[in-house]
Amino acid sequence: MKNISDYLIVSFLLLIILFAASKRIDVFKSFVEGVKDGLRISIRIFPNIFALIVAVELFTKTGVLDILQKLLSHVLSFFGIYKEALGLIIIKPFSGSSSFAVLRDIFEKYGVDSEIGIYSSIICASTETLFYVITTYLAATNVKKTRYLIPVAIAVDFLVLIIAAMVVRMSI
Amino acid sequence: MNAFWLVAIVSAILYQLLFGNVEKITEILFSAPQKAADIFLTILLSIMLWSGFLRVVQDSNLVEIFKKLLKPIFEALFKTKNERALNFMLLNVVANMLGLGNAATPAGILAMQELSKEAKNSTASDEMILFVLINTCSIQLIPTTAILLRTKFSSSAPAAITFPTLFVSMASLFVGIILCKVLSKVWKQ
Repeated sequence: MKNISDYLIVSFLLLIILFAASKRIDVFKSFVEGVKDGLRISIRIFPNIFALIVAVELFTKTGVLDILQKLLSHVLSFFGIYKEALGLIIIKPFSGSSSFAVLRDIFEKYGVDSEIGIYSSIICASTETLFYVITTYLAATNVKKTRYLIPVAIAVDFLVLIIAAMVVRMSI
Repeated sequence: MNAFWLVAIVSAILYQLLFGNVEKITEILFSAPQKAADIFLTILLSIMLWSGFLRVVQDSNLVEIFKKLLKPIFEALFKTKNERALNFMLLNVVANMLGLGNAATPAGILAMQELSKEAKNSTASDEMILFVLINTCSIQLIPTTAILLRTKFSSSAPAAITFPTLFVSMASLFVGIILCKVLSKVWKQ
């Protein structure tokens, strides 16, 4: 499986470059111009990412996350969501790298092919770091009012948790 | 975002003030910027790299090929006539589907910048909201990172999550699009 993603990325790149070369454009110049765009974008979004990371660090490392986990476990059970995956459910919307660390813990604790292991794999793959995405994308614009974006994003995320739990239960 | 940020910061500080030790907070205040810098450096360099390739894709018109395949869907979903915005959205969705998250981000940001040119005041338009929602639904044809981690933990069937994942994301995307279309009528700009 490791190879599939590598092959995919590399062949994608080869396709891009060969196609561009066949159109006789200055590939090097294009690439450098793109890098300049990338630098501008990054600098523009950095303050927002910085603010988000500081908040996430404070929230997770002070133990408030643990309290929230305890409070929410009953609500989740009510909807049929596996409460063992709670840490993953809370951290995933904020940070991709932390969520894979949590997934690793779940695999170690419950086993990769257990019901919870499979459930956690599915939700980790089918939800996004939604607050991170929203922060990053909006930081590049002047948008202040997001209207119904966050409510819908959270609702859809929650729906994923429920559907995934039903899928796992049906297939076992 | 303001509300989330406030709740996270205030609850963390209050909790440590009341039940823990305040030193924990100062400790995090010194380590968090460092962590943010590390993460930023990774993002910065990868955005620069993929923006470079993205520009090559744009300049060579490769995007036209993807466009032919996905255009009907996009025209049904988005009202915008902005060609550049549509191109960037297409690239973003294609890269996301292939699981190339790093390549998808620059295209997504550029699409948002194009879309925001048409937006009124500083309010998100229906197009912008729908586009961000599609991104948060994470449609991947192959969930490579999760499968990779499952392989590392010697799962008996690492790729068995592929179809359930696709099904779950498609179902949630479908509901999300409907919600967006309904709310865009109710929740005026």
